[in-house]
Amino acid sequence: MPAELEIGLIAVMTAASCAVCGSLLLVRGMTMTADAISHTILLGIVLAYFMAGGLDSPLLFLGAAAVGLVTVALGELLVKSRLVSEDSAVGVVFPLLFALAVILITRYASSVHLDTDTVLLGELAFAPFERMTLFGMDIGAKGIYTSAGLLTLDLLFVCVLFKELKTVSFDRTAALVMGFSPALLHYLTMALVSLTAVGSFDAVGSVLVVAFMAAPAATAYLVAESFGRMLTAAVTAAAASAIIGIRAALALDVSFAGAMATAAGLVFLAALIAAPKRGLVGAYLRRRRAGKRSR
Amino acid sequence: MNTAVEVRHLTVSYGEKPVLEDVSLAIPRGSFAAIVGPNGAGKTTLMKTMLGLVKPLAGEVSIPARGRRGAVGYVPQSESIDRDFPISAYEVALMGRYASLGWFRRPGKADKAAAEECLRRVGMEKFALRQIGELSGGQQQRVFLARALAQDAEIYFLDEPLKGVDAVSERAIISILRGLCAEGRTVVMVHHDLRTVRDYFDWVSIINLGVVASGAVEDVFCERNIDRAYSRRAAGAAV
Repeated sequence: MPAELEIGLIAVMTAASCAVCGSLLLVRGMTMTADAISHTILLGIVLAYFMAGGLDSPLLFLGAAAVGLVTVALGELLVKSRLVSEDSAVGVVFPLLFALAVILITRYASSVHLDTDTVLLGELAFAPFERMTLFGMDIGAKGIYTSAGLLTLDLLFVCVLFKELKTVSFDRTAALVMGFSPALLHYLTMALVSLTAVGSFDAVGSVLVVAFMAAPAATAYLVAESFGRMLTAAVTAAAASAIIGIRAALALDVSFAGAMATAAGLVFLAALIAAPKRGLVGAYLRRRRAGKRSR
Repeated sequence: MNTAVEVRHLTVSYGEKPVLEDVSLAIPRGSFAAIVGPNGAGKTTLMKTMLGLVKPLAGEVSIPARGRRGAVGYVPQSESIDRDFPISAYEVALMGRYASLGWFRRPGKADKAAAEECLRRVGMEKFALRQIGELSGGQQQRVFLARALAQDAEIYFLDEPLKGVDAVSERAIISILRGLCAEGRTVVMVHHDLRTVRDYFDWVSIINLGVVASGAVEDVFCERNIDRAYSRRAAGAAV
């Protein structure tokens, strides 16, 4: 498989799984959490690294996901005190955990290949160098398998729990009265977001994780009239942004991450202007029509 | 009396100040009951405690119907709904079926037909595919009522469903709720318009921190009880 195709596949699948998670976060007004989790998981990686003694252990994955959950749980603890709002609570927790991770790395692991740059700016261009081998045979880039696995997990999650997630995001009280535990669904979702963030880190780096958890979901929110369509629209927008970004990066010889994040922003801008009902143009035309009628 | 809801010696507080103090009352099955009282009297809190959404400091709630999944229906206050959420009127109505489906099971043909039928009953079938935020306040309430109907509950709790609702929607909502009571179901509703209590309801609980009076409308809904509920707060505010 040519390297460009491998890069493209990894980018599209990672973007799509981030978009699914991002949509779940957005409808609960929790997009900020994506930013928080994508930083605090570094602490999980560091702690797991100390325990495992290497960078190849699956412990790193689990540790990172666990700290993602801890971030959310600590934030909620603060909210329950009624002293801070939900957004500020996340804002208080995440720099603390992130700073702790940075201190641990500089103090005890400065000689290891574990500085913030490598962990935070995973490099898509290098993804084809990490190979997956089965019985000594090269079966493609490792990133393809992790991103495909994550995407499958994310899609499975929203398909199986579609009605439960829709209910709890739209009307939490009704979900509670109907017997769908909002707390359980909340933590399952957060676990999924953490896992996806950790997995995507490796392939595309945290800046792209944040961009793809925020932008495609926001785009979809502008165009979709139902929850199901929002999810498909988010995945479509994410895949399109990834492909446009990669093409642009190859043509202009710039970084993949930068081009993809820019593409995701531009796709959102296009939707903001041209979305049929909530777009700026649509709103302007509606206002003008209403103005004419009242005259 | 065959009771649908009973609360005994209920005390609820958020922080230090009690919102409800030693509230005891019972609502008979098949009645159309109003919970009235001045602003801040604890009406919504009482309803939320009955539903198990708020934990009381003391006291207990019993709803005999609660055994079956979906036997308790709830229509929230309209402000608590995210109007921008990407969901259509039909999807909201269909949500009513989810309670009896339980975890993982998907709605089938019968559920979809029931949701459509309930939208028709509230006169919203033409708006089935509209996103919820594109509807007016009264239309939204009717959609939530359709969701409640689709749930096929034995007891319904509604938190000020007539707030900000046009006259046509108000009449439609009241006539549907009356129909539910005629079928032997119980409807409990937080209500703010004292002028319509006598016309709409057959049971009323007047509260303000505690229970001022609770019983059949013709027995307890008199000027003396209303004054007691509404002036107690005024007296407190003056101090």
